[in-house]
Amino acid sequence: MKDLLGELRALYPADRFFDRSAELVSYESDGLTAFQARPAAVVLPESREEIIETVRLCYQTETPFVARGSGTSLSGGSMPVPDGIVIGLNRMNRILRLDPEEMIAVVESGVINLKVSEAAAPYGLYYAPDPSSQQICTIGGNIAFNSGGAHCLKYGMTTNHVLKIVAVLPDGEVVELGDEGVDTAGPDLVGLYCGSEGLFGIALEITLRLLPKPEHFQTILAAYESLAQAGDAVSAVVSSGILPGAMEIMDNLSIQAIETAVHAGYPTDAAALLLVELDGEKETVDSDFKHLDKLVRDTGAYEIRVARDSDERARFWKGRKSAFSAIGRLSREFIVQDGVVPRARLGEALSEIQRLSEKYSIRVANVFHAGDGNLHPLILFDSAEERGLERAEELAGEILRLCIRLGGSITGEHGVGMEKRTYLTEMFSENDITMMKRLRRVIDSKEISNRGKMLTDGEAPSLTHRGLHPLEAAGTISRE
Amino acid sequence: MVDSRPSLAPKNEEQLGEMIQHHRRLLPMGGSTKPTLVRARPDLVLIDMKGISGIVEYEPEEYTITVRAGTSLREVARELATHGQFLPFAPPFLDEGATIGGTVASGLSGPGRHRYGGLRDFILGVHLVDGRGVRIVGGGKVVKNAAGFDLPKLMVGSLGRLGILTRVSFKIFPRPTHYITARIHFESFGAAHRALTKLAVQPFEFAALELEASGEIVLRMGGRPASLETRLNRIERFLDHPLQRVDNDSESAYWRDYGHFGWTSNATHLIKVPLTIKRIPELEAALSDWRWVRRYSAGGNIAWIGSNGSESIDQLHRLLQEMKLAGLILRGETESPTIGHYRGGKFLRRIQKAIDPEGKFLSFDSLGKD
Repeated sequence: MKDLLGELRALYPADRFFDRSAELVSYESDGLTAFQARPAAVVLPESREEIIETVRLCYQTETPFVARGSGTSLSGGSMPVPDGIVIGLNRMNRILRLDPEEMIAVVESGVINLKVSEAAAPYGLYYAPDPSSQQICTIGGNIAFNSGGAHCLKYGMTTNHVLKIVAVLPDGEVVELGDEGVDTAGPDLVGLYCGSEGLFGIALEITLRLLPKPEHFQTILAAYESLAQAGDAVSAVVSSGILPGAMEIMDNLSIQAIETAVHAGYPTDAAALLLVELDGEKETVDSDFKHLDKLVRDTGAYEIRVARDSDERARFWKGRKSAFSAIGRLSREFIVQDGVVPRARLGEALSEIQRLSEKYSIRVANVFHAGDGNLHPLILFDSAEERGLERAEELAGEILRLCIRLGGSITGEHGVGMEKRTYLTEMFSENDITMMKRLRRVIDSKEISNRGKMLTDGEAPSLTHRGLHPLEAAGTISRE
Repeated sequence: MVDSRPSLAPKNEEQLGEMIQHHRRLLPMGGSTKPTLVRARPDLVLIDMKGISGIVEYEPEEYTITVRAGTSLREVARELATHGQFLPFAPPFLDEGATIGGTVASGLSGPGRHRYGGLRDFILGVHLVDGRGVRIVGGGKVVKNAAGFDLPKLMVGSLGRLGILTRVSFKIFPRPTHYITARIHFESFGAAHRALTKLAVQPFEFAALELEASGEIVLRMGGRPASLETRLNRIERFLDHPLQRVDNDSESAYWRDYGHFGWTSNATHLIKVPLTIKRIPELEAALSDWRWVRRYSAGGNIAWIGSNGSESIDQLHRLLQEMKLAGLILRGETESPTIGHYRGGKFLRRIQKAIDPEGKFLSFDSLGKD
């Protein structure tokens, strides 16, 4: 280990190499604040060559490393390995090329998600994947966890917008996957790399697909007297053949939190709020919207608002996007989940979550992407109460098992990370997990790349604290 | 298409697993609609997957369907149509008897990939049997899933060499109730190409956007009948160029014909070359010189090429290598169906070792070396 630190100290200038306690503290955890670990050192490369050399040194000394963007992972994906190296990629923030005719952007992995759309905007283009942390999170992190957002049903996730990746594998070999076009010949290696949770080394350069900005939006907010009614409305939209850009539901507890925090103007007595957005050509959106409007009114919403302009549209969304941060007002401590159930079982899942909430005497706020069945139960607890944390964790586990039982997934977009490793083994068979480990080992024979994430033989470490990420508490980011 | 080559025909995953364990080298086949990909060889056992067929689960409300790999595209499309749904990427060779497994393994999407994405953007989950005869599940049945490695994507374009698919789950979309198709004739290929470049960056929503070697753009729009004319008129004004509307009777037949590749019937080879709009002029110059038939599909992202004669494939291979483009030969005699320049070979060969440690499937060794 001493050799490695010496080599890194020689490779990096003093202001980009940290190994003293005070400097390391801010890298000890990520968006999953429960887990903390102290790395041996943090390096901040500014070039591709520095990253490759660092990885090679780690491989030679068998030292685990964790690549880290902005540390907003909600599953502990960028948490350091104790006594390992953290390779912080925020300085790799150059947009290398933007070609408006080919509709691509070539970026380094530390480029912030929203910056891509900002750079594309003058050409009438944008980068579609929009996680709520997009003002802070990086493309490299988006790739590792296949980040989603509110528009996944229609637009897909990060993997559907990545064309090419140049990466350094954990043993130092540099590979090029994919090409600049949207179609490929041969196996989809870019598709395999996205969502590999940092186990396949580090992406150095990424070619992203840009889309023409939708010409027109229509956004509707509908208030219901029950979650079941809101769920039925979602079914009605789906059955009508309309394909919305986004469809979101918030329950009463979330609405109250949101109003206290950001005053979005939501009706606070609603049992459920449904937010539906259409986007596309003006002609199509306006004609689809006539049908959507009638449909929503027929489903018994007691209050309906249609955004009159882009400012009002932004206000409708501000509430939804602040939901997680707002929950911090109701309870300092909470667990955010990310399970998926088939849409037809949404009602059943929510009733069961309600029942579990009563069983454990723990409040659960619900915010979710109704269009794709991706739930975000927010389990509010107080560790000062008797078995407060334990009850919350048990409840969280039951919800994940519920998702598996209903034929869904333990994670829609946050990934497995540290947090859900044991549940991965409940969702997949032993043979499936063994194959994942075989794939991991041919790429990373020494298991140094993000060791301990996604796949593990041991127990998950116990949690120490659950609450708002410091950036959320400061209101700088909001997450979904 | 009747296939008289000897082959094994498993009825389920267990039988398939045993076959993989007992034979030296195997290659799965479906409807043999891409003959070069299932070429017989003395050392190769062909596995007829059509016996592992049938719809496992279809929930229109979920926008998902799960089918066994040997199921014909025809059957899948018919089932989806009864609920007003479809596979938006419109895979080819449907009428010729293509199977869903073969379609995934060859990674083929049709003109419809322009609107919402290709096959890889709609695949959700897979069952496959690996080189050890073990059944592996990857992905899931729901449209949003971040658990585990994305094996479903890896299987797209895997050519039957990374395990044999037995089951696939797809996301599906509601099918537009009405369509309108128009042709725009330009005075030169260059002019048509320039117009395509302008169209592709606009927020117009084309169900299909094709460029013909003759200098014609063919476009299709789907949606509510009342808006289609208005939207088409807008395109006409934007391009400042007259459109010829294809009449309703011929409209669906035109696009169905597309999937047959009838226009390549005199060609000895059919090749797919993925590319980008900017690369088209360079490729077009060579192909027009050689007098080969060709079409640029999906907004200029896929070139479909029909060539004449086996030596010609070497010519194309050298050109593609120079242009750093990959090619996949679907029909015609050749040493290897993969020509041109492939990226990621080193990474792929590692992956293959994990899935097929004893080399039961064809290797990727002849892919472009990095």
